[in-house]
Amino acid sequence: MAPITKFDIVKIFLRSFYIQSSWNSERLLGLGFCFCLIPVARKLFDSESELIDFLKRHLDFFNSHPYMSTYALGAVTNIEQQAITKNWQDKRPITIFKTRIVGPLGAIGDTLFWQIIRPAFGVFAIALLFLFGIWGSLIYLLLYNIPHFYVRIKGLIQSYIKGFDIVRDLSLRGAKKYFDGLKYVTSSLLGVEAVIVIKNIFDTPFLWIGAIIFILSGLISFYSMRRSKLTVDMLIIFVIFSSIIIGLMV
Amino acid sequence: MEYFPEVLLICLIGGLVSIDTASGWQIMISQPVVACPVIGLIFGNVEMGIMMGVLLELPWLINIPTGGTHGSEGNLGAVVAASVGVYLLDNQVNTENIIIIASILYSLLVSRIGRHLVEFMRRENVRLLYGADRAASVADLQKITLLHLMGVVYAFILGIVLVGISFTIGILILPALVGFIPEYFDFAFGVAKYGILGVGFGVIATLFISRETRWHLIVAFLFSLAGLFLLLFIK
Repeated sequence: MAPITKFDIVKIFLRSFYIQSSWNSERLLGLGFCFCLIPVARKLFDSESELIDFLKRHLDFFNSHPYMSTYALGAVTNIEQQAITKNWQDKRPITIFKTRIVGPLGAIGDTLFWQIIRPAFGVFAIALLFLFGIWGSLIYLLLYNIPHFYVRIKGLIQSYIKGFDIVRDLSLRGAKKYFDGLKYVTSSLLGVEAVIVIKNIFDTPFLWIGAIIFILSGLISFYSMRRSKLTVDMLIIFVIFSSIIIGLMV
Repeated sequence: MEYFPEVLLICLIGGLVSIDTASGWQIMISQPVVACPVIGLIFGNVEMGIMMGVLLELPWLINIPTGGTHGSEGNLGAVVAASVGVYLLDNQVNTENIIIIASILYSLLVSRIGRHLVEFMRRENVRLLYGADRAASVADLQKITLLHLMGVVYAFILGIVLVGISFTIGILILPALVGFIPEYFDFAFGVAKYGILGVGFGVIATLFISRETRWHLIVAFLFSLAGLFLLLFIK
């Protein structure tokens, strides 16, 4: 067994960007998780039978939000190291730990990134495009990836240091106050952004009719999505044809 | 053939967008606000790319990939919409607003097809997993790495093929269809652009607006509106 170095942690970090590459309906991120831990496997095991056990253990079912997966990768690296140095005969705690961490990683990651940060930045990106043209895309990319990289790096380092104890840091209830704060900010941003769009419409020949269609289709989409009446594509088709009919009548 | 280098670049962007959407990185270069302006830049019409990015960014963000579920491939659809739109405008098939709406309608179909292709790809990934199981039983680390990275290759090929074929079909069929629409429909199609923008805002609002947060939206809206009127009054 050779010790895990900083360079190995960097390798795991880089591999974590591909954790979803072989996503499949049977074991979800199972193969991806094993792929990310291969630098660890190379260092920790001298005997082939132990290496085979390690690979089989980590090819099993695993799921997580991709950005949050580093929390599991760092912790498992630490625990596997402990298992060797303390000569564990039973490796089941590692599998149990992985199973337990799936829920919080998915719930926090999906809520934080897919339901709050990505849509919030999407709204912000539109304002950036209106203001700065194509440079707005670059600013959006830079800003969005600050929390993205922060979570990946912090997750890997902290969980590698804490091992099993990282579970205490991953509570959806604990993160809720931050989520609520972000939701208040984004709701306000949506209000400001709507006015920016309306101002933009008034710079075109569409004036009132454009602004009315924008507000009406927003309200229709909001209520129909809330009640799950239509899919996004159906909504777009419905709004396009209704708007064209109204536009022709004006 | 005059556009051959540009078409190759668009296919490449399609492949990269397909990877960034789910298979790797996820640094958001796949988002329409990034991919569409870049396509506009390649074809020499940044304004059209920006317009497509603005219109198509928000609606698809509601598709949240939780637990493996996924909706239409809106990002790849946006790439096709932007490239077809810029091409049709360059060839003056019809007015700008008519071309934008026709390209977006076409991209909805492409997004649906993309969704089925991704489902197919994910079924194929199970084979990679079984291959990895066999490699693990002989401790073949290199093979596990290669099998896993095949997933990235699948996603890249999917993006290239979908965007390449959709773009080619689009520029063959759409000029005839779009050319039929009378030019005086331009205003009505222009109005529809703001309808799509409204859909994006409405859809995104469902993620944020609740009993607690709705007043933030209303107050921010009214304050911004007041600010706008004040600004216009001063001017």
